[in-house]
Amino acid sequence: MADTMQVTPGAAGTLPVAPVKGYWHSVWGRLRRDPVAMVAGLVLLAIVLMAIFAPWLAPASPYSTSMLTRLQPIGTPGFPLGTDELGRDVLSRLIHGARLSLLIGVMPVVNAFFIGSMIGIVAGFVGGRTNTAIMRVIDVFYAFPAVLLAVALAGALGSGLVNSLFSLTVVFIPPIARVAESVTTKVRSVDYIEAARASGAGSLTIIHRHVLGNVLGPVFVYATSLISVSMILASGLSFLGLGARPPTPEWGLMLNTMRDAIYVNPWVTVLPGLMIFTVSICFNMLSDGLRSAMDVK
Amino acid sequence: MNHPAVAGRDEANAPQRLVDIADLHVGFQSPERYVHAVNGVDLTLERGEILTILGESGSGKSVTLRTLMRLLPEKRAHLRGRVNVDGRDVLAMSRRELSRYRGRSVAMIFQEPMLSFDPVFRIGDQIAETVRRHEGVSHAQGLARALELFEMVRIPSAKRRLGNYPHELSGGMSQRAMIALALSCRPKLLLADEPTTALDATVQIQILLLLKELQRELGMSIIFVTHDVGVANEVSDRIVVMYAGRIVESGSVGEIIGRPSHPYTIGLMASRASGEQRGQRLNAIPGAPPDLSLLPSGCAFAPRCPRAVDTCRETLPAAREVSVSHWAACHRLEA
Amino acid sequence: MMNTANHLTDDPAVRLDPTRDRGGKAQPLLSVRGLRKHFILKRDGWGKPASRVHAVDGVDFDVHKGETLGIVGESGCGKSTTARLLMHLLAPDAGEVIFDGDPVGGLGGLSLREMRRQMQMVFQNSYSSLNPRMSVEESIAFGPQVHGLGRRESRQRARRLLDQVGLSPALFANRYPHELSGGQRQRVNIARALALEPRLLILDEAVSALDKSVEAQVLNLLVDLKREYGLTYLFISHDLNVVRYISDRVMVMYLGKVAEMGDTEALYRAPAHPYTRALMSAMPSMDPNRRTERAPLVGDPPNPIDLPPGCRFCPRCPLVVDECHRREPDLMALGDGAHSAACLRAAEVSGLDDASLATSQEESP
Repeated sequence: MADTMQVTPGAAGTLPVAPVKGYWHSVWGRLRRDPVAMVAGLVLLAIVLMAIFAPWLAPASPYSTSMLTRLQPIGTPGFPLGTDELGRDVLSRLIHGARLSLLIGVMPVVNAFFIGSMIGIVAGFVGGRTNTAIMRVIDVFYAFPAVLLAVALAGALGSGLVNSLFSLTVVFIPPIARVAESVTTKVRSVDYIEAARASGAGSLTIIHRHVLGNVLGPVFVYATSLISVSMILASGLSFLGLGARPPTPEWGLMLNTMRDAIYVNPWVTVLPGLMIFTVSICFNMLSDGLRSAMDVK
Repeated sequence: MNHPAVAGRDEANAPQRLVDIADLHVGFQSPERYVHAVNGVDLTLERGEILTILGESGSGKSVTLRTLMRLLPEKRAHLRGRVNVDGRDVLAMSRRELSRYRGRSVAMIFQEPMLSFDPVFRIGDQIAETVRRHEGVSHAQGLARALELFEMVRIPSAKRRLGNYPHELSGGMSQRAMIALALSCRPKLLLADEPTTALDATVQIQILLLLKELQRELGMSIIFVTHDVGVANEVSDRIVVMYAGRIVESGSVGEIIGRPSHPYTIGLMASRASGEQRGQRLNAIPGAPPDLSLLPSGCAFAPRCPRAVDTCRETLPAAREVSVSHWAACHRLEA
Repeated sequence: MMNTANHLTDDPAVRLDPTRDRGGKAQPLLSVRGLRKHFILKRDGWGKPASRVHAVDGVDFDVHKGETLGIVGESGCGKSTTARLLMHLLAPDAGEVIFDGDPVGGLGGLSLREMRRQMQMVFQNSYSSLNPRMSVEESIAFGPQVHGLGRRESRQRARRLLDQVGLSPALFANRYPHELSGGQRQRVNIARALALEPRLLILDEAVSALDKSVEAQVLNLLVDLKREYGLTYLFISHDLNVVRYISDRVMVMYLGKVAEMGDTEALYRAPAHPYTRALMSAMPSMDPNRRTERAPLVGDPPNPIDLPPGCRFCPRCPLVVDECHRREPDLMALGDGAHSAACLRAAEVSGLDDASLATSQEESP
């Protein structure tokens, strides 16, 4: 019977034929089955759409003041979410405020993602003393508490939107670079990188084809979890008067200017804070869902 | 009498056997699929016997072994059937009973000895602590027992080694230390899950011989799990061969190695590379083991089997006697 | 040990590629001389090495065209380090690697890039040696693309190779590594290594992690591919049975040095180094009536750190004499010269039977 046992070509392929799909396709497939991440994603999508279509959605101008209708409570006819200390429609200001708040929440993280990943990947891939040198410099920045560093930088540069964007970016580069470095160091010693080197590929090709794909995923997940921190820090800077300037609608700034009215009209005052809270928690939940969806096995 | 289907299940005789597994099914639920890891295993073990479960990855050999210690994740693993060890129902044990049962009745050694030890404590203290907890003796008495155990597993300069941390021991030495830990509470049954697979050949044979000697000295029983026919031949009294969660053949070492009857066992023996086959093609078993979430209705080996006929694909083969102590689950034993 | 090529020159099975062959059949495809790699564990206060691992410590060997050279040994013997040094994945401390007459690296020799077209490697871990984010087809096509083959042609080659290694391209080309079984992944790794059309394939424990029934399939595949493409193999394994099956010649390594080398059957029939003997009698027996009663060696293979003078096998050797502690034996030819061993008592050892070896052994504490 032994001689009837021959290997036929293709005999190894007796696994059930599964539909062939790409990596990101399968990530999406898993993410779709995660209700928490999907709800968070939908809420964020709604808020982004709200920001984009703000001029059409807002019932009134976010700037028009009226001394007659100051500090109206929620449910006032004409002002569904009440008015602020200058009589501006809070609903319209929240809708318009989403634009700037999302921008200064997300932009620093996006910038830091690119810069930090680049630093981390180079340090991790080159290794040795270069790595030590780069990471020590990064550690110096990392040693400062994020809030302190942001406030110090923004304070030194002077108030203003661009300066606060810049200082927040600087705050987020070190943690992202550290994560990118540690993931790269791990990936660098895996056999498939050796195999790629053995096939004669140069460092740039290896980084481009083999390292980026395996490093940027985890770093991206980490970065999305930083967006919530960034939102809160950005609001904090505005609150301290270091970010957006009045009368620009921005959630952190709104929180600041309305805080005197907290005893008069507590619920209206809390609304911008609620928005910040919602957006940050949604980013966090989406990031958690993404992490588990991207985890192959 | 080792063959349940032929000898019948003699209930009066059952307490004498150390292990009695009947119709064991183990399945694992994951969000995507249900994996049938063990599908109706009957297995008995006499006192003082060394039994080897031989099988490849996914055969269910390790799962069967872990069931004996109830080491499977409670939430995901669905267990069905009867598992009796030393006359007690393992599947019905409470948490309290389990922790007394583990270590005192049954102990286990693994492929990776480092996992059995906590890296931050000295090995001697860890063994002493285990002895103290199970037998209620003092730490000093526990240490004395640890020294005794280290000498028993033939660790050179045992006293000094007791003061070592796990990472300070070489591969063979830490394997011995793990055996010492497993034997610390005088278990009646030792479960060995591929304990020599990661070792070098010259060390592997030392550990295999040690286990055999210990079994003789202490009179315990051992269930040994391996994928290596040679290792099975060296240690066992009896071998059962598993494929896709079922036992396909069972017999004494001489019967399984010398006169394999199930086409899978025959294929396994024939596919081994050796000097005699130089220059010839190896008689590899074609194909791959079945997906355990989509088991075929008939014999699981039928798709790879050179003797398979329609019956094999339709109905599950029952165990059939080859000799008194040797049986195989195959429709086509005579073919 | 260098004049073993003669028996191969007349072998009709050795097929040379006329466009790439340079020195003819008699010239070894790969010659390694004095290869050495020490890893430094500790440095003293002045930054000088205080403790080092002698991973590969002066290794010489030839691989002849069309043959399979097996390398066996236990962990720490330097067999995998040798493979990585040959591929220049690690930089050697010293030594010369000559590929078909051309020195590799250095001025006027074969460039690393060119060498890597001629020499490829399959790793042990089939999973970690494939990029999880690349489809099977992309992984195989990567090498040819690096060497300038067009995207389309590379993919066509990948599909052809998949078919060659027994995986249907229609079913597997777009799959990802985690969707394959261990045996299938190792087939992909072999296809990937062949994609650059190398002449020498280094197989570093390439079948060791596979189940036995799958291992046999992959070994058959390797034999077929060798014939099909006229390949030369360097087959590294700890499994003496598999090495005996596939190799024409075998090299046994111990603590970074060659202990013994010879034609497979001669070496297995009459091993001349006590270590080779011990390795062989440590193999689990396949005969229920002749089980191993006594372990041939006591204790673990030592780490190749800060070695004492003399023969490295001394502390574990059952046949040790005073001379062994004083002098480190070189590889010396036995009889016809095809078989050589690094043991002062080699001539006696190859005549011994196992029983006399076992009785001369003492249980050391």
